[in-house]
Amino acid sequence: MKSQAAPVTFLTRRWNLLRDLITQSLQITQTLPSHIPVTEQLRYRRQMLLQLILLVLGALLVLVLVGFAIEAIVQGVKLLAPPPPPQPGLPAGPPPPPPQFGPPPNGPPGAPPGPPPPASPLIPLEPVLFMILWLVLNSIAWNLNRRALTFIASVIYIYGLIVLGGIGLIWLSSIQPQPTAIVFSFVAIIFIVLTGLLLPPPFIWLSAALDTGFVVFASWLFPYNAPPFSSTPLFVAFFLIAAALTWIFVRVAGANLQSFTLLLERERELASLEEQFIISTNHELRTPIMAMYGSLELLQTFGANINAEQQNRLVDRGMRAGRVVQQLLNSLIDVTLTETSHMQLHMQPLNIRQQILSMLEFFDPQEIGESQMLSTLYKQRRIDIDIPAFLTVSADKQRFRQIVLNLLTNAMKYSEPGTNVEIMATISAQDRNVAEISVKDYGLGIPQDQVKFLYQRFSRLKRDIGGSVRGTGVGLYLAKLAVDAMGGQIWVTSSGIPGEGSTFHFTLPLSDEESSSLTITRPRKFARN
Amino acid sequence: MSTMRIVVVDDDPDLLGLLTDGLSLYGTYEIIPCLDGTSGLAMIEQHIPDCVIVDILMPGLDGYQFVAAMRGDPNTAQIPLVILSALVQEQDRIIGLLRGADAYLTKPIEFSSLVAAINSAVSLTREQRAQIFNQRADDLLPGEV
Repeated sequence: MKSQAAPVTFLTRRWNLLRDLITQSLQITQTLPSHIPVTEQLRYRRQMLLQLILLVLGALLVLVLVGFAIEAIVQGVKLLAPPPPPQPGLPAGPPPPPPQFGPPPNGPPGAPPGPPPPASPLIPLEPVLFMILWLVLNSIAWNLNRRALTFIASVIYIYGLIVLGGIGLIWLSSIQPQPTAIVFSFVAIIFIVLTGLLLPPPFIWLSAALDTGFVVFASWLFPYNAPPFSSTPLFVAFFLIAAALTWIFVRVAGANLQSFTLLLERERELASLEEQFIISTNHELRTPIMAMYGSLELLQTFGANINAEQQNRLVDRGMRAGRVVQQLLNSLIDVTLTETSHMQLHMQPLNIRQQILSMLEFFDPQEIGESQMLSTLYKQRRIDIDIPAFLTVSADKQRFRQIVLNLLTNAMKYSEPGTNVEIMATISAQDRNVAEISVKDYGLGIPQDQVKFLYQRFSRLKRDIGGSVRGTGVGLYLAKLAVDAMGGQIWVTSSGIPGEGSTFHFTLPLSDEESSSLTITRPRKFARN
Repeated sequence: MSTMRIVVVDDDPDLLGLLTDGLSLYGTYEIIPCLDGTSGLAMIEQHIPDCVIVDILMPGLDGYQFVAAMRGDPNTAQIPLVILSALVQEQDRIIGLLRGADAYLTKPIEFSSLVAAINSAVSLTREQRAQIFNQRADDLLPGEV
């Protein structure tokens, strides 16, 4: 870790980061994936353009600061050098005024000199202490990667900078001779630039550069004794305002940088998901296509030599395979249509118990494109139902079926044949106006760190990529879209321990109306055969 | 011509039915269909077939595990084995062949090609199989430095 703390390494890292950000933003701007809606693409492009401008401004500012530092050295050397001896023959006049930064001070050139300036105060200790504290905290934060500590350090830094700027310039305004002021400015510039460069995230680097720019610019623009900045309250007010503006500006730049980084991550995720989706879909399509193609091949080759029963079997098999392909394509089209247009909903009162019982009676995973789900996964499995008969929600019937079938199919796909699946419904404890429906299995469970990926389209868990459980990663994505559209929420609880399984919950608004009555004759618990 | 006994392992019932019907039409084959790897291994132990056709992505025991288990058992190690999978990536093919399959075919495939692959696998002698496997390992695995 210590070798990384070398300033050269830090500078190299900052430079690489800046270069990468600019390169990546340019690349992404040119090659935004076509599936991102046009409005989003425009937003991304604007965002990245702003980011580029900020980055370039930050880089320019550093160059300006370096220029100031060089000028400070030159001026300091000139002032500290002994004055040349007066040339003989020339009348001795008053010494030339010391050079200084920025425009000349206000006031008539020939005005009589004022009262002698007060004696130079001691070097202000308070800002120096702040800076040391900030440096220590920041170094610890950098090494430990603690964001909270970095934040505290940044707050102290900003406060220290205000005090340093205010007190420093008040001090400058009251001291003589000028060389001390120039040396002080030079040290302050170098100190602030270096500390700014040592900050961990790029936006703090920008922050330091901007803050420094304000201090230096102000000290250059408003000479030390020029009114109105010779007044202490005005000095302090000016720097408070400058610091506040800087802070706001830096926050905006920081937020942009963060969102830009998130955007890059998102793009990488999308690219990975698309690749994964292509592999999954390719696999899901090839098997039914072979069943279809093979049946036709056999009919073509042996059609005249096989009996009617064999012919019918081949035709049936080919038809079934065709339906499988169609269902798979339908689910993909469903995703596209749902994304590009509003989900069409026909809300109506639905009795949860009736709906789920009728669904189980004709349970067919093919309804949601799960054509290749092995029948042993859902037959001979006990499904426990715990749903009060009075619970009626307001929902779209087709979408409700789609959600429950997806959750139920997942529960069966990711648990061993023979283990129970439980379907429960109740009035939500948090909101008495909504019903909470849960599907619990005793399967593999879902690791906590992967829960966030569950509802992304085409997303599959790491363990399932290349695994034996098939899927395209659209089921939960569609389920979430449907639940959201109907005014509910969907979430999962799982310990991630195999055997303890997971429970998917979703809520839907309770309906005031009664759904059409249906005689329920099934027992509370039943087993499918 | 004697009947050739083939164990076919695939979790898709339709594909299993198609392979059973198709191979029966194409030659004098006796097909033993299995819907999962575990029952497939049991059938192989029980019947010692002339050839095995196996899918890769299956619930429970997958195709790779199936091939490894079969090749690891001295009783079944020399049985000709053809993988028929929907996985088309090169890495899948390499894994399948290195685990000991005689051929790696991808779905969809014409029956004539499948029959040719079966016949080719069946015709291999023990020595030829060992020689091909060793050559394959040299070709597919990175060389030693």
